[in-house]
Amino acid sequence: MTPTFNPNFQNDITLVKKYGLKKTDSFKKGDIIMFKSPTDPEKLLTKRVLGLQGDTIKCLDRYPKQTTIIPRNHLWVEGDNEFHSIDSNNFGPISQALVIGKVVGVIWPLNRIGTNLSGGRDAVMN
Amino acid sequence: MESLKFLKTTLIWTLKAGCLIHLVNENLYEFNETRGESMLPTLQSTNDYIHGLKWFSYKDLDIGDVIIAIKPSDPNQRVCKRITGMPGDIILVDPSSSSPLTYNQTEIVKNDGFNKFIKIPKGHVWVTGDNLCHSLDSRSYSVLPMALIKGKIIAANSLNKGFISEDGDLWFWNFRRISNLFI
Repeated sequence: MTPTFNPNFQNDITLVKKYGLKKTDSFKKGDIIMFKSPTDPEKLLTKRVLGLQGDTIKCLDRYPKQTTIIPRNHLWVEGDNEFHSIDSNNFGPISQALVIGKVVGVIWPLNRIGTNLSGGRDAVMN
Repeated sequence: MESLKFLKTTLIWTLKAGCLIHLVNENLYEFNETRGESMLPTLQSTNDYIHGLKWFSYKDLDIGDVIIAIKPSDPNQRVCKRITGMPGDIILVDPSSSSPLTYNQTEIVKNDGFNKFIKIPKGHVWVTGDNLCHSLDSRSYSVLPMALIKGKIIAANSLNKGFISEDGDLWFWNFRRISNLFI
């Protein structure tokens, strides 16, 4: 997720919200979420939500299809560092049930409190 | 004064007991009702209660185990299914969707995607109910990430059956172990 997190090779500590994640409308585009990796249940990943259910997504080159439609209660997630990220372009849309938290903000180091966490490419086709 | 103290200790112990029950229920063991026809020969559609083990390792999961999982298409629902495919296995999704016995020609063409083989990716499993005719499972929502598996079912009770059976035998509400039936 560099450059949003850990821009100076120093690990950021973030506040993560773990409640209110079960509804369909709990997420919106641009949210950063923490979820269990679909390919390895013991791993946690942090990525940005780029598409919600029903959206048509323009995928990156490594995904086998050029565009894809997100199924019900699934999310399209991608890392901000496009060239160094294992994300939905590798394993497809993820189920909302895999999400265990939503990043609220950076709390450490102190000079990065309140950093603007917005970003990510615009992946939804109109 | 005395009664206030009593109230305080009662409250504290109720809270402690509640926390303990919650911890055990979330991480160790669960006793819960199941409903629905999808596991029919193994579990009845009503009045059946399962003993679920929440403390398990993903490495111990094997083909043939009965599991509790969160439905990928609805985080608020949990399902109880049997694992019928492990990572790397090649699965025929649903051959019956192309059967001329139940579908007409246009429906067979529409269902063509189901009569195909897929390979289960790493970290996923294929789950189906035991009652294939009445089950919403991997055949409709595709592979299930292992991270959604929340427990392993080891036994079941039918609470409407009574402590003693009609023949007079002790059978403890039809307690039965649910084992791995894979041959």
